[in-house]
Amino acid sequence: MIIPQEFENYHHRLLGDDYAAFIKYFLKHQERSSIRVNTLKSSVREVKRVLAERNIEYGPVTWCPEGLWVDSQDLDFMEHELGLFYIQNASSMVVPQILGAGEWVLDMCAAPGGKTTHLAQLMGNKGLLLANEDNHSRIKGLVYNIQRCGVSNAVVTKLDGCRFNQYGERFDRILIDAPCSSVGTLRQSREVLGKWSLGWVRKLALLQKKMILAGFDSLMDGGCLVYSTCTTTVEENEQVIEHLLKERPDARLVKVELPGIKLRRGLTEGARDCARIYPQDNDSDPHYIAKVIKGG
Amino acid sequence: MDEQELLGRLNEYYGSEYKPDGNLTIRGEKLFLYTGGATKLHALWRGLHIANTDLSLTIEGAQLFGKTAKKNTVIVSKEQAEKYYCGEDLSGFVGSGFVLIKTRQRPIGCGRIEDGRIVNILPGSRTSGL
Repeated sequence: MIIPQEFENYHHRLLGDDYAAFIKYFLKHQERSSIRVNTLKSSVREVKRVLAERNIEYGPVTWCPEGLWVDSQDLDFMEHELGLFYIQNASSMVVPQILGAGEWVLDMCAAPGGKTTHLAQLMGNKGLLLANEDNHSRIKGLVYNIQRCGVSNAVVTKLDGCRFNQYGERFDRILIDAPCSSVGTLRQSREVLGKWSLGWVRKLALLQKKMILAGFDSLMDGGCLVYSTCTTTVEENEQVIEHLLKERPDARLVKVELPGIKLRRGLTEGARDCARIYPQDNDSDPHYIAKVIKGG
Repeated sequence: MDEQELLGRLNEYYGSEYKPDGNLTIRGEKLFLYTGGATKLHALWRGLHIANTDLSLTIEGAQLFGKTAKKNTVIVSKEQAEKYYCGEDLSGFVGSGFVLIKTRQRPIGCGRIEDGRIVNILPGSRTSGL
């Protein structure tokens, strides 16, 4: 695999001594499959039995009680279509747990629905779960997963995330899993390397900054917002959080913590309490997570 | 036909005692269950599609009604269930009309008996690639 010079220089500068381990991991290790048991329809015990019957070895994802590592890539069998589990990268399982259940929950960039359906199971199918996706072509997949997982408290909308503060709804929990340069998906597709450039990253960062302000303005007082991406750049991560903290004095950054996973801290002084997940630490794809509280 | 009437017909047809824990709404031919809160925003999709006015059930509807269903239910083997999820019809069944399909006590969906076989009515998107 050829790594573009700009990508390499940027990440070398960003990660320093960790760069070698980071990129080596991506180059040498195939993605490890993982699933999340859908407790709206099944139990960890039942899914373990299903896997055993199919001679698929499994082990616990230490940071998610419903998460299982599985030693198979062929997971689209009957029990998957029945909605007993969701095929999901293990890093993604962190995000809904950091946000937690609420009464009025917005998932601003919901497709394909992994985190949405995880939130629904944390909410026990109660309360409002607004699953928004502004990309029309991705809504079909989102609805498929909501239906397959037996989610009955979700409403799917196609609204502009950057204008959510104008729609008149207020939420006690908001997840912004923002569109990003997706370095974290490198093991599934090398495509990202072909289009990666700092110019592209900066363009995405502008959109992310608009989204996070609109999201924050849609929070109730005391509400919680989680911002996450599956990428590595500071422009799309720490700098977005710093932008929010600068523009909204009532935004308070809270330290992201979860037992069972090695989390690294944010790379800038103003966003140290955020969490970075590196593949070489947890055998899972990169992720960035920040948690913000509004007011008191 | 309103939602409560359709619910009554479904429970009667499948011999079940399903009591929804949310609101039922008929949109077109489809019956939806919604357990969430109200919003003024324009929804493209709301809730869970569980059944249709012709008394067929979605997979999710079969899972809800199937917990207590005693009529118009057929038990199939694990192998037959796998075949059904590959999109195949199942032969060797008598009767006619919609049936709730179970394997090992687990409801797995709905089919229509016709000419001695269960005609597969699973949507293509829900059949397995394996």
